[in-house]
Amino acid sequence: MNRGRGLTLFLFLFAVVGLAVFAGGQGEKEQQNVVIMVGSHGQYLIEETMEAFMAEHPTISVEAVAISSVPQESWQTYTTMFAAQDGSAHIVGMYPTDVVHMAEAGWLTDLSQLYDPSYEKELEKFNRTAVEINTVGGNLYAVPLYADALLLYYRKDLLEKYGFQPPTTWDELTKQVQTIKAGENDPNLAGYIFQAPKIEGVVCNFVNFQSGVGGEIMKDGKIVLDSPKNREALSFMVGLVQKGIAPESVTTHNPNDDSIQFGNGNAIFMNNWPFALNKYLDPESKVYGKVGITRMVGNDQPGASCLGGVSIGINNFSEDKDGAWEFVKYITNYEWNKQRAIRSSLLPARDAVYQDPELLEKNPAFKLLAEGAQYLKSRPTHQTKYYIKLADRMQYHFNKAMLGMQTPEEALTNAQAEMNKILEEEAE
Amino acid sequence: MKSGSLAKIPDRTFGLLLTIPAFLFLIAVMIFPLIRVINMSFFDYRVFEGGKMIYVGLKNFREAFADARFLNAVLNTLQFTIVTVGFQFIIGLFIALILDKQFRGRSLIRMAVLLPWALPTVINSLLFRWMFDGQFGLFNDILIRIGIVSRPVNWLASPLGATFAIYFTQIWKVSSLVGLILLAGLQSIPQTIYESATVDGAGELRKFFKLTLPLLRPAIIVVLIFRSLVALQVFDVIYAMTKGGPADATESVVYNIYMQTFLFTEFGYGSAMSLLLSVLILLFGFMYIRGFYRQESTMGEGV
Repeated sequence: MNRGRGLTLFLFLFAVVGLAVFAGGQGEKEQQNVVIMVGSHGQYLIEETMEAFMAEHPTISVEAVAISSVPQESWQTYTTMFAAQDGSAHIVGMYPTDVVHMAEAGWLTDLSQLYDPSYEKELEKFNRTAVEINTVGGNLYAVPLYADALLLYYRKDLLEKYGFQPPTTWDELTKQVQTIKAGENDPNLAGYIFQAPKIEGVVCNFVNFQSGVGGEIMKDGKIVLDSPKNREALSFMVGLVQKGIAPESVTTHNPNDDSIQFGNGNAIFMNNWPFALNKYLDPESKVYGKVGITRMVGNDQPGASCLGGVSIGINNFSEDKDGAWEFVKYITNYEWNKQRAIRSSLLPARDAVYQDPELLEKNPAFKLLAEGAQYLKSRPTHQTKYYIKLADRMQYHFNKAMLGMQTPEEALTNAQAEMNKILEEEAE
Repeated sequence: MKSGSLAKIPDRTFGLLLTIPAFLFLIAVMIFPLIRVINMSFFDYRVFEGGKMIYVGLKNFREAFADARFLNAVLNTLQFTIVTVGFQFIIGLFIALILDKQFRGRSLIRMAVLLPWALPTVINSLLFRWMFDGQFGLFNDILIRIGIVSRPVNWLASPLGATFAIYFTQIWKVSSLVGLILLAGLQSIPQTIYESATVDGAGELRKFFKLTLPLLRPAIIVVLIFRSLVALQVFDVIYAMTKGGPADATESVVYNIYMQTFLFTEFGYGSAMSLLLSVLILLFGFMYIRGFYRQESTMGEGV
């Protein structure tokens, strides 16, 4: 009896203290606290941005939390965090592959409810494709923070030596590789290196090849992978290895491996993200002053680059959404896009920044980047909420085709069949 | 300083009271998650539909047995466990026998031998991924220099090569640890037994098979159980070296569970696969212990 009383008293006290703490948390609300969670690239200049913002908005305090900048890992953070309906991070940085999943799950706030109509005009100033992939069912769920694009790096010195202009078509690129490789006679010198292991990079690289022939992965919600145009694109991609234009190592190399290979002067052309450029602007680099960048080459039509990058949206489980939206607007404005570009070579998500005279003067890299980075093609990330599952099948079959374990035709047929099966199962 | 009421509590009850915090902790970090996993494995947990849970009975388990990718991963994992633990044991025993001898600088060598194990697996794996690289890898360079191959081998791009690379990395890393555990076992064997065997005229080989191995059995069992249980859960070396590729040639069960659970957000299916893996691991442990005690008892009868 005594023990029962003691326990009751204990529980009672516990509840009282708990309620008091809870009520305290709910108390006065003049100050808004906003937490932004984003990977390391999105953290460039964030301290300065936050300070400047808080000086302008004294009632809002912002705090930054860094998470992994590896897409798989940040996605894992979000699936666990949002499944638990955790609202502690107000603003989250997402890759193109994440946005639709999270919007459809009800994890993201429909931003069009937060902004007034005048913001529509502002949105037009962003890269069109980058905004498109954040739009689900006509509503905007995220604003592009920075863009990322696969760029065609080339060895300026080698091309000049053989009297070539940077290529604009795959035929030209192939001929240049053959001529230079024959002339240099260096067994370590690879022609064109890109990424085709079983990672999302293989899909991105396929999109590059696809852009030149005009193929699509999805159309009107249907998988249209198994088409003559895609067969042409994938056959060409696989054929590059068979013809010796690309080394076999493309089937295992990730972007970092390739950037090392190119940095050692062992490749003529490389398809890679902008991060690699910083390494080559270092006078210590073996290829310092020898690197050029151009836009993705094409075939019948000009090529475009696979679009990456990070967009930021607002957590639906959070409070203080207005404050969060103010900061989203602020960090994605023209000035901070420009500052990030000047000081870190992060690609702006607003087209006009590329032509900014101050940027071109202060960061010479952008004389190179501006040409390559604006022609973008998206993966069908915004057309389905099952993109990550579908992409896994493409990664598997494209990689298998690259390894010669199946023909490009089989790869497309099998991938399409398995992707359709996934969509059917999910529709149940 | 004992207060009156506390002193009245019998020791046994007081002891139980003191274990409550630890027990609560255990419930929070072990028992609750376990029950949750068992529970979730019977549901289709739809994260993207507001976390809706739909009861599906044994569907997740049936699906696992029909999932070619999962079965492939089970085979890969079993093969990985048998081959790597086997080689780790043989090499580790070799290391232990050498380190058991008296020689100058022995303690220094004993410490140095542990280095591969002290490095985090991910670092090891990344180093080896570069050494096995098809374009600028160290192993290719050596093979070409001594004339075994004429052009670089793209190790990680073929199922066989990638499997070999992963096994090699894992065996290199863990053999020394196995060696040290076996060494501890070796040193607990009294020298007098060997001396009397020598007096009886036993040769070195005979002493090894008739004395060292049987007396080392407890250490061997510990090593085999622990290494097998860890090997069955292999993830990091695969994640860092091949991501399961080329195609699905090196996917392990845990890698598969990771993909299904955290990338595809199939929490229910992932839970079911985790439970199946637990059963497999328990089976392994059971087999070892049964084998150990049976041999122990037959040995007892023989003496």
